[in-house]
Amino acid sequence: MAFLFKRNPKTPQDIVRALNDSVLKLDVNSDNNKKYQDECARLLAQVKVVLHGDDENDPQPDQISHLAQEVYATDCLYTLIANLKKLSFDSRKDVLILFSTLLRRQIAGKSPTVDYLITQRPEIIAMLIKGPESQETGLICGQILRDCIKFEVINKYVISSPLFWNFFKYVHLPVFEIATDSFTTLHDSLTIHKKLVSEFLANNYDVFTTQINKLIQSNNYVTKRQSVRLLSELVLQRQNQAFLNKYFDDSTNLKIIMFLLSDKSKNLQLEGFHIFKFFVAKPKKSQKVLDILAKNKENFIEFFNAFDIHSFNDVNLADERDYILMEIQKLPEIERIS
Amino acid sequence: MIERIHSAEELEVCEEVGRGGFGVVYRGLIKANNNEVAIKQIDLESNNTDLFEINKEIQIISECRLPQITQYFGCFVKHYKLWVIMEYVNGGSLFELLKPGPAEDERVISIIIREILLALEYLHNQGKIHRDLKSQNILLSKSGQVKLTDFGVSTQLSSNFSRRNTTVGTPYWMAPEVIVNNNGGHSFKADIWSLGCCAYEIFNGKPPLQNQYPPMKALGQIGRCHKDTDFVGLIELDKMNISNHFKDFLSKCFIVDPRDRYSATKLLNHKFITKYANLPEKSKLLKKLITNKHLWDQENHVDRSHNFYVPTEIARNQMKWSQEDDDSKNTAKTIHFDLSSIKQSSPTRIAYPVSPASSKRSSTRESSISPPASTVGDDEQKPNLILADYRQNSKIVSKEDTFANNLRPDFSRILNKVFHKLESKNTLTTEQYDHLVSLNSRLLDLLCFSQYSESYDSNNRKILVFQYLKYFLKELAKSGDTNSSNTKTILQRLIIPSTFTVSSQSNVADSEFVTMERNSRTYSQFDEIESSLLESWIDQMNERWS
Repeated sequence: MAFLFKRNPKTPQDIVRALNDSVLKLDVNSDNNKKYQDECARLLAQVKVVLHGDDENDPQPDQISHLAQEVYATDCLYTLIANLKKLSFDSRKDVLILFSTLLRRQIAGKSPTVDYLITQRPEIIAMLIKGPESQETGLICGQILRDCIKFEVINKYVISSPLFWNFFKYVHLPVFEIATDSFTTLHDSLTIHKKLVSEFLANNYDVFTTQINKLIQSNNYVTKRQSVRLLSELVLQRQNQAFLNKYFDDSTNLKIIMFLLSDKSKNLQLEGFHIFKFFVAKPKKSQKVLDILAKNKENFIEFFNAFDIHSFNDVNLADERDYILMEIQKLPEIERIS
Repeated sequence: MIERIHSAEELEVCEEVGRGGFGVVYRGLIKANNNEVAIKQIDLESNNTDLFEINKEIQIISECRLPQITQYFGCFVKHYKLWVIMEYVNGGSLFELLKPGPAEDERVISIIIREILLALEYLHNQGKIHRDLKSQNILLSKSGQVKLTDFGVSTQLSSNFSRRNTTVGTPYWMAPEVIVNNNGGHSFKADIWSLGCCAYEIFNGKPPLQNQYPPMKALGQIGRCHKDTDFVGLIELDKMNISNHFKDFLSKCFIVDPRDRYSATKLLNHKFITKYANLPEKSKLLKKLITNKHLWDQENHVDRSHNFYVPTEIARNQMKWSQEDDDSKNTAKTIHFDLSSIKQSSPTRIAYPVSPASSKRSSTRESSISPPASTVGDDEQKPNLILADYRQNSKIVSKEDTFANNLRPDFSRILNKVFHKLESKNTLTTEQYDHLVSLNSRLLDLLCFSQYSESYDSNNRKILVFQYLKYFLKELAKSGDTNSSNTKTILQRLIIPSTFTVSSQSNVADSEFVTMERNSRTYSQFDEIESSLLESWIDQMNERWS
């Protein structure tokens, strides 16, 4: 790539400006579209050389700095994300590389890109959240967004946005990889920054529980399994205490988890068990939860005696089951009116 | 453009073309246009599938669009299975195509390597690393295209399906920095090293060091390379009968410091690659490779209808190594079975050295029984007799070979039937298949041998073979005497299926056929490495108690 510089010595600023110009010329209906796509691809390749060097040249910090400044000054990231779909298939991945490299770049412990995104162009984050709505660019946006939410301020922005709840729709999208990618983003945004999430869950208990319960009751096996897995991860977090107290007192949740125990899939049964055990083990149970547990005492005993724990390679599982079984046996007998 | 496949209704599933820990791969047809596709079905309920891991790999393959990389057509979930639809490449893997022998034509090597370099350049430019480049992952189409495959889920055809964390055999393609710095410090340059290994493999039929060292030792050898001359000297690059361009190309791939090792882009401009880049007969040369394989299949009675299963070469080598490794120790103490004389006279046949563990097993048995009847006495001498005969009878080898070749197709048929039977009861892994294949061959060798032994009457010998198997199991099945060696109990636990109660002897010797079948099961339960481990362990035990 070095020959490009020799023949065509462009400064990083030149490259960024030229890139902005070319992207804005992209138009699917134009005959010249292919030409500008190629031009964008070529310029993005040059951007990559500035950022990462090539065989002959190592990246130069001052060049990177010039490039970054120009990117912020010209709103280049905004232009690129807004027109992502118009870029060629391979160029879109170069946008990902540019975005992620700039995000990671830190000056005095702070990422200037994060500041730029939050203070100047939060629209970019909104566009990224809506990424899964496009089949062509959904995966690229998903990857960029996950790189973004590694920074707590952006994570906070994302989960505070009303758009965040869209992810609970996106995970149902028919294109498998977009749906699972959305799930990964949903998962990351609720697991990386623990303190942030604990506040979020406490403040949004009702909406969140309704949404996650919907996912758990989905007909799609993958959605079901991923959402139960996410829930058990959240349940295991001590910081989420406020959320947990509400969640395990709610008999609706218990019913949904009991459905999982009776699912045909062994893995869903197991995932269900890992949540169910907290309902039983909780020291102070709500009356409603206690009623349901007691009413189904015999069923539970029967179920746990047949619960096939040997097919899972988990040494603690037998102990846990025995403990839960013991707790269930301690439940009061209920007189049945038959 | 690219038509995405959304559901199983759009496809017709044809024969199985491969399988592995993750699931099964089928050839399929798109109903709308009759185009061939490869369908990989991953069982999501299976314990060892990690959804996040699968997602990551699908993401990688869905982001690759290049003629040199197998194309992705989409995926969807049906019941508990994830179907991944990929381009079907109909010529087979390079690994398969090298079976008839290496491709020494440097034009062929250069052409294949160039295509793979294009794929690597594309991947590396996107910050992707293949990490598992080897001949099994390079596919050829009948029209002469070369495609890189297997980013974890995209494995197809009957190549090595071993999962990545248990990659037996992959060590030979590993770069030193991957071995030494296993904390993930290696970059895409590791792929270039592996590429060099592939080029070497095309020329020699085997990756570097495979003929000299077992995998773990090779790993150590590669890891100990600090100077560029170390590895090049190890593989004796100077002595290879190849052009200087090729030699230089390989030495650029095998530069130990990854920073100095050439990149894919740079290698694409290497003389060895540019020299043949515009060769008009490119695809013709590659097609010839495929035709050769077909001819070879026919000559060797490889049943095309069962071409989905081909035993991995590596398993066979393992057997050889485990033998070689223990040679020094074994020759002194135990009987050493050596069938190599047979191999020399018949190049198409592969002789299986009887693993040291099995001879050990028989000798352990001898020490623990007191012969109750005369027949058992005969049986006891068996290993020695066979040994003696194998050494003496090299002159009858040719006759024996024709007999074996006549029998072989029938034997393969039996083998395939057994596969289907076993398959219906339990899903077999590739390794287990390999064990069954090798056991089947050993039995054939044993029978052919007894048929044509001149010194004894042949019927008698055949009976001996089966009596040996029968008594071997019978002895094992006996509950351990009070103070007889503990090792026997250990053997029992290891060999006899758990469904089979130790004390009931009547079951064992119902008929010779049953014993034979049962025996084949017991062999398949552990591989060469395990059995050699077992053996050394038993030795240690013996020392401790004697």
